[in-house]
Amino acid sequence: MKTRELSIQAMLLAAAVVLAYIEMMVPPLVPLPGIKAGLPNIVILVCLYWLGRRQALTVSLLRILLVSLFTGTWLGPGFYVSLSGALLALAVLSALRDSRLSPIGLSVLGASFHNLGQLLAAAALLGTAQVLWLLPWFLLGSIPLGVVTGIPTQLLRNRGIFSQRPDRNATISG
Amino acid sequence: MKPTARDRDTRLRGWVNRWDLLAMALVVLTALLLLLWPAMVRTGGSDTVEVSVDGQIAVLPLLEDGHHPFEGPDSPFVVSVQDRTVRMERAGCPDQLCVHQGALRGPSGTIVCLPNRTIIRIPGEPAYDGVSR
Repeated sequence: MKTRELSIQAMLLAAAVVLAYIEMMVPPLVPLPGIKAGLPNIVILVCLYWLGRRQALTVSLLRILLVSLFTGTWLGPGFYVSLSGALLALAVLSALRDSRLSPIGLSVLGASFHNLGQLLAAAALLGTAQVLWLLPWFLLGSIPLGVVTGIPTQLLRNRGIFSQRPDRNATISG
Repeated sequence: MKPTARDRDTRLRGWVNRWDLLAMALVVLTALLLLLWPAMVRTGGSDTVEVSVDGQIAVLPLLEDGHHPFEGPDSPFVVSVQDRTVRMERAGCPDQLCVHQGALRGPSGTIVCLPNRTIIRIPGEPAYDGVSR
């Protein structure tokens, strides 16, 4: 096992959990469970570029698991909404990571599909498709939110951090 | 450390390239298309309007524009239907609250005129505008 990669992964997971916690302290933007600004996605995106797809999936799933256990929402409606959003977003992010999109553009698409996944789960849980009418507003919102969550990854990539994979025994500069 | 071709590309072109802008434009376009989807789907209501005057219910078509005069217990009033919306066009009641309520687009909401004991609504399952845990 590559210890360095494991440590980075653990650190990113901790950061994702903390960001999710911080996010819970601000009042929600809309009165639906589990729909938030998406601060932990900053970390997921960094992990996707830095460590890889599998690692990003692990961090994302563990983040949802841990936060739901900490807040007592395990297997509650918000849990399924988060899970659905995170999985759909990560599928899109993984598929398009090596495209010509920069991290910021990718982040916007990820945020859009995150919202789509969340609303689909909410629609299934509530047994009505009416919530999907929120989708256009969420999509418009995902542009600024996606740009903001993409900036840290863009910064790290512009510094060349991601071209030195931690398992290649390289020192991290910057 | 040697930057990859893609890293150099980003440095040269700055932060956002044309593909990013294209992706964002697609997202905005999708959102606008969904917003411009006819308001009728959004309401999910029926094609009729129910006007209940002092307990008696009259049903008006929502698909035909028109002005429908009624004789209320307080005063006469006119309900008008236009472009799948319904509103109280004119009422003889003193406060005119029903007129100021504006138009109904769907099953969420009602127009009420207390002096005339009148309730106007579009039957159907209301669209959710919020869900609490």
